[in-house]
Amino acid sequence: MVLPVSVGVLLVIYGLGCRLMPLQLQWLFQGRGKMEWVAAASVVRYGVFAGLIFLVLGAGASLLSIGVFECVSLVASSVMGIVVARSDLRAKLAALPPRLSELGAHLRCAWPIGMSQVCWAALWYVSTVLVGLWVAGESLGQFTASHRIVMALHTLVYMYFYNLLPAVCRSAAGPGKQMQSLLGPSLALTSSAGGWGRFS
Amino acid sequence: MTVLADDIIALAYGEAYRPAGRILAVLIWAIPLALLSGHYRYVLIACDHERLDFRSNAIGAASAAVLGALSIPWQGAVSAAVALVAAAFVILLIAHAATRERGVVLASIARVLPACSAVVASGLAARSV
Repeated sequence: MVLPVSVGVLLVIYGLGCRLMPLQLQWLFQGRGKMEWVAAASVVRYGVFAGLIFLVLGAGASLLSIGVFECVSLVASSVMGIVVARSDLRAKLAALPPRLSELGAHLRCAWPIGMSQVCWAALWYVSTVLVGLWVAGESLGQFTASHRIVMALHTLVYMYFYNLLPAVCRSAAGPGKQMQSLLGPSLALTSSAGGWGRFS
Repeated sequence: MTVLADDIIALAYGEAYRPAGRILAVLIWAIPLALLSGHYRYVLIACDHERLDFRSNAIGAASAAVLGALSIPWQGAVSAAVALVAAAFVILLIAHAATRERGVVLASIARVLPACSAVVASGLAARSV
């Protein structure tokens, strides 16, 4: 299968957008318990994107402009994140160029979480790829239609744990009962709400 | 959602997509499983056992690929949904075992799985009725 040139260019633009993701500094704010800045960055990112779509995009506009809007919105939220990190957290930029020994230490710490995220993505999308390869046709459309609804709901799961993680980390540093008292009710609540939510 | 899957799909995508409801009815169970396993996975991350979280996700992804490869060519898209849900359950089991292996004090899934299983069975039975 050969992709049209415009789709390839759009993929490259979205790939450039991925390069801006680390500058969102979400993990930094999360680790410091400053979730309000994570929320503000999301508002800026999606607000700018939606604003550009409504104000600039018109009939006959190129598909590529959507990728450009995505990059612009990421730049806006990244700038906000850097400004807030410097002003609120007194964070400083690392010295450039980075030392190889430091980069190696960072990679050794980060690779399990990074690879875990890759596997998580593979888990959720490998079925779609296999259906596309072996069944395709109507079945693929039906599967992806259901899959999109499930992935939209999965965003709530991601957001739940994204907000819970700082509290879990703090309780992990305390006595065991502290974690049990935090996660016990959460387990009970989510298992019953999740189960009955799917049923009703 | 298991019971109303057909209507939800028809509402979201139109009547032509109504047959996709049977896929959604199965696939939706990946969400409560992800909710449950997330507790154990994020505890592993918080307790500096990220490699165990990676291990559980890697085995889960491999399970989805293997189960899908074995079933999709013969059973189609519904089996792809079953493979994904089964893989999510594998992750739950492995992450749960890893937390217990490392001595992390957390509620056992034995307390919630029977209730969840009953809900799943009820949902699928109600749908078939």
